[in-house]
Amino acid sequence: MKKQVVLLLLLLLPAIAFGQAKKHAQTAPDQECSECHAAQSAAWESGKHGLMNVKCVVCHGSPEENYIPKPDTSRCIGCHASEVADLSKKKAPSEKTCAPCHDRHTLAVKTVPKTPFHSQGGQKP
Amino acid sequence: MTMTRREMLKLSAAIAAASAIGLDLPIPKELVAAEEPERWVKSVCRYCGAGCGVYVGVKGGKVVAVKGDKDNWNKGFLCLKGNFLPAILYAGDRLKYPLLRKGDKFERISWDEAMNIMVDKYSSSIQKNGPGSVAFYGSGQAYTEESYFINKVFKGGLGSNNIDGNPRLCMASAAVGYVSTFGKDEPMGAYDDIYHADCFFIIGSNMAEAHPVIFRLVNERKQKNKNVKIIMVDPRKTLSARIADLHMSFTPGMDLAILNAMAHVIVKENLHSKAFVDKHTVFKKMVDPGPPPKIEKVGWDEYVKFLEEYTPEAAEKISGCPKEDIVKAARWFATSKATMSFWCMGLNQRTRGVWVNNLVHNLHLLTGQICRPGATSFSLTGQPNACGGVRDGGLLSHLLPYGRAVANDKDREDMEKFWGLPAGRIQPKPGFTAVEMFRAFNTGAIQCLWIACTNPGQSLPNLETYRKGMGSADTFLVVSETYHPTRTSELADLVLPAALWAEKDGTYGQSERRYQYLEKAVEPAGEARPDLQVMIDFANKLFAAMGRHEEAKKIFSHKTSEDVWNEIRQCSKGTAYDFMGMTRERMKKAHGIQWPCPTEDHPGTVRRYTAKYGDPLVKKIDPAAEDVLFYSAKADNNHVTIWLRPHKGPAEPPDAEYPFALTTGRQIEHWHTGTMTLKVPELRRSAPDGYVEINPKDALKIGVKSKDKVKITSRRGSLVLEAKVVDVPREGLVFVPMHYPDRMINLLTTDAFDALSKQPEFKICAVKLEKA
Repeated sequence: MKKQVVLLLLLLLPAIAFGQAKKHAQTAPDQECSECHAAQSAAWESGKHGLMNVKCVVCHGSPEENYIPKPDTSRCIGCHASEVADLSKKKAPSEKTCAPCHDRHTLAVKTVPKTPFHSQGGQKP
Repeated sequence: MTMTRREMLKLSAAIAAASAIGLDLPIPKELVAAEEPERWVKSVCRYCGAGCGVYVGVKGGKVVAVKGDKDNWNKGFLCLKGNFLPAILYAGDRLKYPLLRKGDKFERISWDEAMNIMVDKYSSSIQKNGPGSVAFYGSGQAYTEESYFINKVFKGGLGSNNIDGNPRLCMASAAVGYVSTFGKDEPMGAYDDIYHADCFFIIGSNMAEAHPVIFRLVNERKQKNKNVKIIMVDPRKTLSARIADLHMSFTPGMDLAILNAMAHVIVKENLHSKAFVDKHTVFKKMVDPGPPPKIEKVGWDEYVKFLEEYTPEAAEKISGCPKEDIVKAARWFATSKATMSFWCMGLNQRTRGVWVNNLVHNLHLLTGQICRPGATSFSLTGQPNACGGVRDGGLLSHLLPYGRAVANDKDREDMEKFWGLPAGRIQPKPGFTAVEMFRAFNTGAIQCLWIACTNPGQSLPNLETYRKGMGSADTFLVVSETYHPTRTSELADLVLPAALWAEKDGTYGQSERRYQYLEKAVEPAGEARPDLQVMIDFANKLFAAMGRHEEAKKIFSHKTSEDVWNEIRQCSKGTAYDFMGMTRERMKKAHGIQWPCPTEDHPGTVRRYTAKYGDPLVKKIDPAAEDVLFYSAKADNNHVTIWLRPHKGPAEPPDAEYPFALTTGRQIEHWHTGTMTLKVPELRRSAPDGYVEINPKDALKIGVKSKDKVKITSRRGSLVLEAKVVDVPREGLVFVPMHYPDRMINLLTTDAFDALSKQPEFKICAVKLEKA
């Protein structure tokens, strides 16, 4: 039993050290995201990504491969490379993501700043 | 935080172990995040004809990322597919060395052996049966240099016009549509027109899925300018229709009546531009389909008389499209400040594909909605280099490079001189077109066929008929492919491993005449080689085997894609295309250049046939021209043609035995036959399998619900697919995507083709449905 606890702790260490990503629950091969994530899907559909069909897999990967529940900015550079570059000018790690300003699924700007952040090349207004 | 490879492996093992005992452990970011590239290489997306500019991120000799080019027309945006481009290079089924068929199996051989076998087969066939017994089937995905070079080998070197390609299945009707109306191929406008248009007329195109980044621009224009009107003409209520102000549904194949009825309304309500019509157009009708077709010039009065029968009421009767919608669309089209039309396979893949293309052009010419910002008639393209490599470069059996035709004596003479060939080498009779070529391969009239960069074993219509011929032991089939097996390479006698996008350099030309250079980013996988290098080797070895090595040294002396590109520039000089200003050095820096671009200091041409908006050729040809000059229509004294094209339905409409119309098309996740996109885990997961889309009322009639298995049968074949019951197709119509190699819908489609363009009617055939 003691050995099992030690093994468990050892296994948990890297998890504690490296962040909060999770494995996706097992899904059927043809199961659609909206079957379990209806609210997120509806929000997505109402936003720009929904209208342009930037589907769940672009940001989250597939449930089986390259899955990430809270996407980092590497998932955004395909279309928003310069906006991601703007974030590198932020100091706090928590600010180096899109989420503080943009709603995760509609992509709407949460609080519209007086001078848009990206038009300033990532400088604070 | 950085991790060594050893640390990474340990962590992976720990997580795997935890997972095995049921623990839901967090995954370190380093295991899922993309790697940071060491350098970014400028390129173009591999997929559709939109031609989005991209940068390819490279690290340690591998492509690890991709990002949109912010300075290109796409403004840094990519579609769902484009975001996952790196994965196509590292699929498990990459072909890394040549393979030779031995019975039912393939054996690895060397490149030398492969080339010797191929040269032996081709030279024997030519010696025994003449150059007409060998053929090449190319692709709108090959680079411009590859298509130009192999066209020269066949038409110029061998004197065989048996060279065609998959754009015959895709863009031929658009090309013949432009040529028959305007005298020369390719759109006169550009994506820039989207920023100026106040009315979009979108017909036979599901842009939201097939050309998402162009659709993004249309949507943006609509969002920023609420007065902008969008008319969508499609028997399916697709994702594109979500932004439409008017969705016009109709019985598949009956849109010729709608377009003639719109012209009827425009003339009846005096919404046409008499000044434009008088100054720039002539009227023609076909009095005998031929061949050769007999064409007669007529006048305005006869055109008006021709339109009389196409009242909105009559068109409603024929097409099922409400007459009020037809009238509304005609008025919006004619009276907007600037109207831009878009269409794609819904018009092109038809037995009346050329006619229906002509009818869209008619509306622009009648109303003068052309050759100014926002007013243009714009055909969307399916493949990344169908325009640049095949239509412009002349890799179709009736064409020669840059607006020339094999049937034209002067064009042949020009090319023989340019290529340094003896007079009479280029044959005046067009060779086999795509479907004809595979028919000839079935009968043995063609003995050797080389297919490169495309997958006709899945993409041809009436597929089983042609798969039998491709798999025959009596003929010799070579396939140049990136992956193996594909539904084509599995039938080959010899399979040659091809370098993929980012593994070779060359030029793509997309829908708006924008040519872009794709730099090589990484080395090819295994022994894979760029197709151009294989073609150069093949040409020299074949000619040597035929005792013509001196000639080969002279005409096939190219070593690099730049050598070929420089010859192309010279070949285009003085034509309507004119790439002389597009040097390789300039192309490396530019974010695409639009032709004509006659000099190195010319910025490229956004809009053609208009001096006011920058076409350099207008004033050069006629210094007195005030603005619009259709110099493309020299034969008619610079007048373009408004065609009297009567309504005609599809070759195989639904009937009592086969009561549904089948149409095929794309999903946003996948491209063409899925050889690339189905290798990307994210895309495969998002769209894993084929299905049949059925209207709820039809589903009720046949007693099926979503996820039921349905057997769908045409006169040529059948397939069992999962039903997707959804209010997208109109009643009587079913839709099946074309992407899936295990659910090949082309087993059912018809190979009836347009008499003028020879493009098959993939978009409509009759089927029956039953619960499986």
